[in-house]
Amino acid sequence: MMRKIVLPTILFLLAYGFWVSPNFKEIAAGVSIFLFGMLFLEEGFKAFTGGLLERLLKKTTDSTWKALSFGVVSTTIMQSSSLVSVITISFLGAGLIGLAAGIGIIFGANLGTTTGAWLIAGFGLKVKISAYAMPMLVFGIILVFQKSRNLKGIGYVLAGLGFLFLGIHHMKEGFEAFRDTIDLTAFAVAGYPGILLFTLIGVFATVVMQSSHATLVIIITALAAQQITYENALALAIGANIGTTITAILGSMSSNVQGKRLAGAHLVFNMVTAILAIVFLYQIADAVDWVSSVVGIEDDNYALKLAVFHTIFNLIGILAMLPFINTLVKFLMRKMPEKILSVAEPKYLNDSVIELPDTAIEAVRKETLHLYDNAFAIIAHGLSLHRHDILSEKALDEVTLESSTVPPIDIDAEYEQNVKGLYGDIVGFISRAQTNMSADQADELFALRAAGRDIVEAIKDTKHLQKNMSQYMISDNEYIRAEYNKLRAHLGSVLRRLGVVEQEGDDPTSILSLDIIKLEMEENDSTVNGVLEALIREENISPLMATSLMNDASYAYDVTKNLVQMGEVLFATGIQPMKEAERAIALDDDDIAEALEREKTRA
Amino acid sequence: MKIPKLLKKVEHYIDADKKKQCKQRDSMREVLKQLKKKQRLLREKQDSEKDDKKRKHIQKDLDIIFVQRKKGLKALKKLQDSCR
Repeated sequence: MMRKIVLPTILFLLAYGFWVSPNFKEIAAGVSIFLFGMLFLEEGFKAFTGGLLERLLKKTTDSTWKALSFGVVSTTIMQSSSLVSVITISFLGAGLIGLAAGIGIIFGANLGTTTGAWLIAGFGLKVKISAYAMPMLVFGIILVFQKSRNLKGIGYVLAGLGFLFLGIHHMKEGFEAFRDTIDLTAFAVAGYPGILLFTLIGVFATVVMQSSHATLVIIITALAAQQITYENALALAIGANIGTTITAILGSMSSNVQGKRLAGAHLVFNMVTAILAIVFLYQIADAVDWVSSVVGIEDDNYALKLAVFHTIFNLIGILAMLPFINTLVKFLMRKMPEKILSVAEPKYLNDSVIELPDTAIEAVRKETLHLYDNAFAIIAHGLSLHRHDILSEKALDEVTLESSTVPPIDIDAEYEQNVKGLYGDIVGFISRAQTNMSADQADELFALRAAGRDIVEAIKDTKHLQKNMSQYMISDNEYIRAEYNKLRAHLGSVLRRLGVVEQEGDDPTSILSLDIIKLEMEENDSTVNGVLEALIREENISPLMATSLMNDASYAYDVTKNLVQMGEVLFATGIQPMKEAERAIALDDDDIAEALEREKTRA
Repeated sequence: MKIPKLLKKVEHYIDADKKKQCKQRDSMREVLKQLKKKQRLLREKQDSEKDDKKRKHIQKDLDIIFVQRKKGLKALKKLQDSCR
């Protein structure tokens, strides 16, 4: 209901304002162009998130100071703390960084965003920046129409900056013309009531525009045109700092609990900083005067003094909050506990990562690993083997003898409960995520989807295998018992080797060691290696047993094949060309035949 | 920077396919290097191994690496040609 009223009211008020005052129209158009520039800038930087930002983030978040510096530098470059916080939330949601590192980045982003005020106050007001805006727009838009992803990204960034400058120019013009007609300083309120009132106005303006940068530009240009008092401008800047958290809160809505915790940390930080700034406003203003005189800013250059104020009060916030990062982490974890998931619910897939292709791929990979983890338990128990035995160093032929009495599980029920829903979620997420991706990224996503399908196929084949296996592994006929135990030991060894490869994630040749399974798979195929023939000929097993063994050997072969295919995709880590190289070298059927031939020749 | 060199850099930057193939070539080299290292270690292990069964097992790993390297070197040659 509220939403239905708010938007039309805002539109009506704006329309009325445009009708009454052409200057107001120019200021509002300036804000719109500025925000449009921000959108372009964000779009441009997203083009570069394909790897570089992710790699940087992984390297620079292992200590609080590094995370803090990353926040400062990335926000300074991108000029959008909102973009940095939304990306950080999605990284946290995808499990790529921890909460403490995320908080460090957010603190840094708060300081980094203050460089915007410096740029506007120091550069934007002194130089005729619309002169820079025009060529930037022209070059930017030409590049936007290029095919190359990088050129397109540069185009968006250039055009974005062009629009930002143009927006500032229009706001400046509007306020200067405004000065001749209306004097807004007549509405200035002195003392603490004024500070609180203007703080609230700052919060409101930033919530509406979803950009503290835009609010700051308005404040600085209005201040430069002497339309608001210096004291009220300080309060507006404090309000803008609180209001900016709304973007992070909105961004975290679609994220998991980790993302929500980070948005909570952002809100706590900005609220604490704001309270400190309001309480010690006059002392901080004195500090600003002192710093300004030291760095040579004139007494009446209030725009630059506001930039100094913005930096100082965010710095105070960081110094005050930094010692309490761990306390804050504990507090947030207590207040926002992780929902205890049934194993079948997705842990890493959430809509906040969908916009960032590489992060989305990593989230799908992690979720498919989660799917494999659930499937591992089903396959192991389907073979009447314990998970811990498979992952131990015990000889598997001995383990199969010891665990013949392990009761078989209901694979259908386990599949319904722990796999089906999760697999469906992965497939659904992939369909939504692929729209933002390059061809290579989409290929990687399809490979992951195929890995999911291989996992599901492996479970289904295990189910077929289980039917006879549970009967023959305890049969009185020692020959058929031995053959089925061989199948169990073979599949157990496949799961064990996959476990080793998963652990050795950083070694680029580790997934290539899966080829040995392919070789063993061909060697152990009892239907072609003569073992089955001999068993029938010597009447050690009945023809009925023989047909069951033939079918089940085929199922075991398929389970192995599916699991190896899955492992080649799922356990390949590192950069894309490296994965491609590994997959190009991995052996196909002809290569395996060649390896077998080499072995035979030697024998 | 001289103009022809600068132009070549720009061309290289714009020609995404070529750039990609060069990256693939570098990755292939790296994987082959790692495989060679693994092969050497396995040979050393095989030489010092007394147990016949274990020696045979290592030989199987070596056979696989031999075929993998053969395949990789063929792919590397192709990549080198297209990256030139």
